[in-house]
Amino acid sequence: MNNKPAGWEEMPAINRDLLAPLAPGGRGYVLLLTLLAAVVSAGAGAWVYQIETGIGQTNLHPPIFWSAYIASFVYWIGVSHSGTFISGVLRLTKAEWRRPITRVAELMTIISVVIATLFVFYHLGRSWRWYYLIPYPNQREIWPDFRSPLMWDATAVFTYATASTIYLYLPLIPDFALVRDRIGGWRKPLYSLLSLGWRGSQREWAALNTAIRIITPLIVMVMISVHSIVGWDFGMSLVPGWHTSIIAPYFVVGAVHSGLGMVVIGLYLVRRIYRLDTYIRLEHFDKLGKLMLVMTLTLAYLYFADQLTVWYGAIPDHLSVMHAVMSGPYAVPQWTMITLIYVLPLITLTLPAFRAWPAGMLMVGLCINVGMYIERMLILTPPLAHPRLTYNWSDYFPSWVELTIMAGSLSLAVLLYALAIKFVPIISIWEEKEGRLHEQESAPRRTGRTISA
Amino acid sequence: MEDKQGPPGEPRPHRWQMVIDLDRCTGCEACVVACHAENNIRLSGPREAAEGRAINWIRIERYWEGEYPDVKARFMPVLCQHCADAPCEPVCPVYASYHTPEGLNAQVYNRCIGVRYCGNNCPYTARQFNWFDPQWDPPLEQQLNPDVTVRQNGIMEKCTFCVQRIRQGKEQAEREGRPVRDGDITPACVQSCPTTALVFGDGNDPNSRVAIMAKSGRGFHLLESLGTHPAITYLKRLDE
Amino acid sequence: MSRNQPPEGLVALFPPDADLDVVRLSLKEAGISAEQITVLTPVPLTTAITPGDSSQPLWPYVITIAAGLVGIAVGVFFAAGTAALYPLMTGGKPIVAAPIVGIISYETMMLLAIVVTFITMIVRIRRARRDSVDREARIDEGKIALSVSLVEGNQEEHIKTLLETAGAEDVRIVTQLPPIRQGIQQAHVMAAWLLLWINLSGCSPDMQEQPSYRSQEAPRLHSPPGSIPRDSRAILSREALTVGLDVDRAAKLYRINCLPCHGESGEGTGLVAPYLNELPANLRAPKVRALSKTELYRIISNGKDMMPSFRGELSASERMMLASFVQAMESIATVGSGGTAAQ
Repeated sequence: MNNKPAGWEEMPAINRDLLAPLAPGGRGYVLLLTLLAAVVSAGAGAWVYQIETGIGQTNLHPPIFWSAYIASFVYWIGVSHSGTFISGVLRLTKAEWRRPITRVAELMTIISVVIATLFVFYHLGRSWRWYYLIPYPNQREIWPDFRSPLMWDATAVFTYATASTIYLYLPLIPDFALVRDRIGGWRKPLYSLLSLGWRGSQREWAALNTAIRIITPLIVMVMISVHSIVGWDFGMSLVPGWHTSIIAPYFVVGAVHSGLGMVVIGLYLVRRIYRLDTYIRLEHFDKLGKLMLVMTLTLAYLYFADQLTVWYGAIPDHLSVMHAVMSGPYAVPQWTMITLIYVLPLITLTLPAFRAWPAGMLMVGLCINVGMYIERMLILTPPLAHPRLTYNWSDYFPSWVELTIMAGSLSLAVLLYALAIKFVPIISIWEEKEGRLHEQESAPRRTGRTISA
Repeated sequence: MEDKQGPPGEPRPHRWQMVIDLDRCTGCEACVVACHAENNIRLSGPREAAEGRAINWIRIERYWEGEYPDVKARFMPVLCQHCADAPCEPVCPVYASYHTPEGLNAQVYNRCIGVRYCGNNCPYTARQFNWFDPQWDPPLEQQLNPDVTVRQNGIMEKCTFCVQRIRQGKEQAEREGRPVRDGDITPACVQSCPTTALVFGDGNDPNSRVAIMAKSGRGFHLLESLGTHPAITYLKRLDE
Repeated sequence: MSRNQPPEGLVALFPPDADLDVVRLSLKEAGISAEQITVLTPVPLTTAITPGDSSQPLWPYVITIAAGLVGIAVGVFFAAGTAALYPLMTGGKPIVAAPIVGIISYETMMLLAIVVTFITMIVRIRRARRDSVDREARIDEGKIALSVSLVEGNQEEHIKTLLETAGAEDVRIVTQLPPIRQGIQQAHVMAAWLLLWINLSGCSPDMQEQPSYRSQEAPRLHSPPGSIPRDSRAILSREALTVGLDVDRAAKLYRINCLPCHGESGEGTGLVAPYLNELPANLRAPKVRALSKTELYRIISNGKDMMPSFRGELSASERMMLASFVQAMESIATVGSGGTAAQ
């Protein structure tokens, strides 16, 4: 009864194409790693210097107690929403086109959560006492204060990091098994361990699929809660410009905005470097472009709603922040940001021809991410610089230590990504195969039925 | 609302309050110097001061009123307001910012990890951070007050209402077997104010100077609309 | 199928379009029950083709929900229960607030639900491994494998021919299960870490050493910068160099500073001498006698071997006085508490 199943025949080719990136990298790759490692070391050096001498190495001063590090934390947590959003939401809605891009995005998630966590440590005044944040029984009977939004944040980020690691790992199990059977040397035992002795029996598949099906909606809910809580770090305070109820949805949408931009960057590079044009197709850029457009509009809408309320309400404390941003000392970054994250995406992404131009999409992705980084800085700094007692008004620009640490962290993210590509198939192999089979809708139906014993 | 301090059911023995008479303040900054001497506040030097990092637990805010040539300088000493509903307290993830039963906003130095949320959330910008390890130009390090902790790099600090003097005053009264009298306890800034613009005392004692003055018609609280219920009352005559 | 030690079996490789119904039927005729047969595929067949299959078991979902409920309990404990455990008063204000308990419980609920679902899946996958006799790497090239486990011996050749006639591309007889065991010693390390955390206190001793609080410091005297010292402890006065030795004053200094070690007679037999590892110098010994006054002064000022410096205790003039005194020791019998006895 079985027809000739076209999807099955493509499998050896899929294996070959998608396992190719795991091969040892060439001279360019090593050069890239060396360069990145150099910048990472510079950042690490700057951090050690800061710990040795004091947080004074930043340009922070009263009343600006938070700035570049926390803005970077928010930004990186935002980027981490790429993976969960792409992979979680698209899996939930059973969007078939998600298949080649989920892994690219999920890897980003976990790496950027790590980077974001690092920024918390850069920020702490006494980072060597960070463990006071953990609720553990101690002789003095002191517990962390869960009333603090920072404790919500710690809880949420921990949950999110754990969940997204699991979420990255689940669909990797069959792929690890596949690599295990095709690789030798020191990496083989590692893959054996990670593949849990996967064999591909139907009960194993059922267990895996059930787990994915349960965890997918949960992780989407965690994702939304995490960035809401990051927003509430600011929203819960009295600071004019922070204290707004729209901040949670605004942060979530902003996070997805930068996350999608980052996914486009990643997709472009992976596709370009490993020549995966037949897997990451123009269709994917087109659909991502549409998603980004939706996010641009949603974010613009939320931003407008917020600013309109501030402007019309005309409460002096709030208005002074708004003036500083719109026409004061922060006007240049502000309007750069508006152009990069609202105007440019809106102009370009509405054109179908542009969405089918990967290099153009890459540029928009870069614009959005640069813009969102500026946006995070602008959310944080101007409100702090304009407290209610005008005597204390101040100004801020990051110091070289802060900039070095930020650059080092960015390089660390890229470095980790470059290393991960050599370890993890960058496109989910079995899901890609499954997708090909789905295209031949009618063919293997009977086989599937009879096998389900 | 103001009776929220102290363990519920137990009467609070004291509620420390301060009155600052702006009509008396000349902006001489003697309080600032006294505070530095009393509380082992690190010296910052001109560079750090220019960076806005000079640590002052009390500062004189100077505002200009009117247009040239008819300009008046207005002075306002601002220190930690010891709010009854302090915004800095609940945001601390480790309880380093803590409310004592006597209504002080205490800072537990060796619990603090320096997340600095309290500094952001203080609408008075009263909280200060130790950006570097403390240092004093010799021989100033020899006048350090042994009753006050010298704070390490990386933690928050702020006005304590000279909690060490409050304790000394209470212990002295206990030794002598009497209640604390009004005027027994004076923080360094109050002690040094040449125009007695600053008055400190127990708000629970209805006959104390501070309680009587706080009821003055000239009284107001700083940023009263925020509902922080400060323990400091400012007095200011409204200009005709 | 809950066999602890699965016996040998076969793994057959089929093309993806093979009719497994036929294979299954012929195996059944050979006495192989359906439980002994497992199909290995590179992609999930059942869920891929019939997403809403009702044959999926319900219990993993129940476990997730139960874990979520436990997670809520954990969250409530952390954010509210501990307030009863550690009754910390902050000005009498409530340290428990309902919305916050909700937020924390939400996160812990998700955490536990996801982690437990993950663990459940691992357990299920590990248990499902026992269904098949061995893995077959070639399925990933677009094939289907059939694993047949055998309960009785001497069947394998028969089954092999049976499978081959049914269209199997390759049939492998598995004689022994490859041992797969991973070390779990990490658990001990984890436990050690946990203990370490618990032993840490909640407050640091960071600021215990206070520059503002030092006991028993020698008084430090200052002069304004640029001033010329006239009568300093650090400077030898003219008087000390010119005027002759005041034996009474020097003996008094000796009794305070030197006698505990060097003894009344100066022979190094002081009160504490028996407790020292290195005996104090005998001031009457020729070695000491040979020293000049300047050398003695230097030793008293800077210390030597076990002997501490007396720069802090004694002024320069006093040290010089003691140096003269030691030089004149020959003419002094003993420096007892009563006074100085001449020889």
